[in-house]
Amino acid sequence: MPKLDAHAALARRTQIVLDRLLQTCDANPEWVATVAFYKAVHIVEAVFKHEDGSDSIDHGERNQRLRQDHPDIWKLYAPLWMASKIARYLECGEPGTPSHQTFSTFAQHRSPNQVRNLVAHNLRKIEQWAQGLIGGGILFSDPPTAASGP
Amino acid sequence: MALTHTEQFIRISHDDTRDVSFVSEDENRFFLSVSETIAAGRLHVRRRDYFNEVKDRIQALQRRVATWSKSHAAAIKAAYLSFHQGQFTFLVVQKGVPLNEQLEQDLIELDIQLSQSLEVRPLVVEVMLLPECDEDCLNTFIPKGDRRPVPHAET
Repeated sequence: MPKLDAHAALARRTQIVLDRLLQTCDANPEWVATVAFYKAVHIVEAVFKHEDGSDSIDHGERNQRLRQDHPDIWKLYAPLWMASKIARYLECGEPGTPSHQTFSTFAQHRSPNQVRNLVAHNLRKIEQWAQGLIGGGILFSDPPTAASGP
Repeated sequence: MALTHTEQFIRISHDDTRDVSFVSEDENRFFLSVSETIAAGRLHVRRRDYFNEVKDRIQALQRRVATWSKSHAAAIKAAYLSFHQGQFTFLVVQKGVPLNEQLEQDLIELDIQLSQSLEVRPLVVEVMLLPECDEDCLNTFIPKGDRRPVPHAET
């Protein structure tokens, strides 16, 4: 099972991908939502590791622990979970079919701006919560460099 | 003799050294020792109590999601309680495709309440809000056979 710092390292690597995807969020909000969710998974697993050394067996166990032990974080995490599930699993039918006429793209449901907000607000708050709990110099995003600006 | 047959009971006592003979409706006959019979009876009682308790909790869950659906009927196209891949999911299909953020927040509040409800625990319930879409679309998410409609004021 990954150690706490391994989860943090994976979160940082995921952030690199997320930063690239965010540049084209209008074209692929479903992948921004999905990658943002998986970064949140690593952050939450790092917190659980910090709390009692445990790993979640699956999404269901992780979700239930968040609901019961950290409901305020669940309120931030649940929209990421739901958005990523819809992005990955809700098929919308072939063009020309009735299915396609009601729901044809993920972006019709959750706009690119709403997805950006999931990253800028929900994911950021989850990251701040985790860093506040764990401390000790554990980072879930690489610090901005001079070249990348503020 | 420890095994007595009265009008009301067949009494099987732990100190009886004889075996117990069973005859089922289909004329299947088998024997168990008294200790095996008592152990089997205990298992059955535990299982019966467990199923009754689970049934009570499922009914409490059904009441909670029905009440929530009714109070949010104006924003809901359909709602389902499903048991799929070993877990309950309260699946809400909103009216319209663009995300109803208030409905999403309310659903997450319900989710937290269910997870903390002494009536519903330890049942685990996931919630999910979907955009309005047709039956084929829904089937890609949770198969029709695993979905049970939750009644609400509007359809």
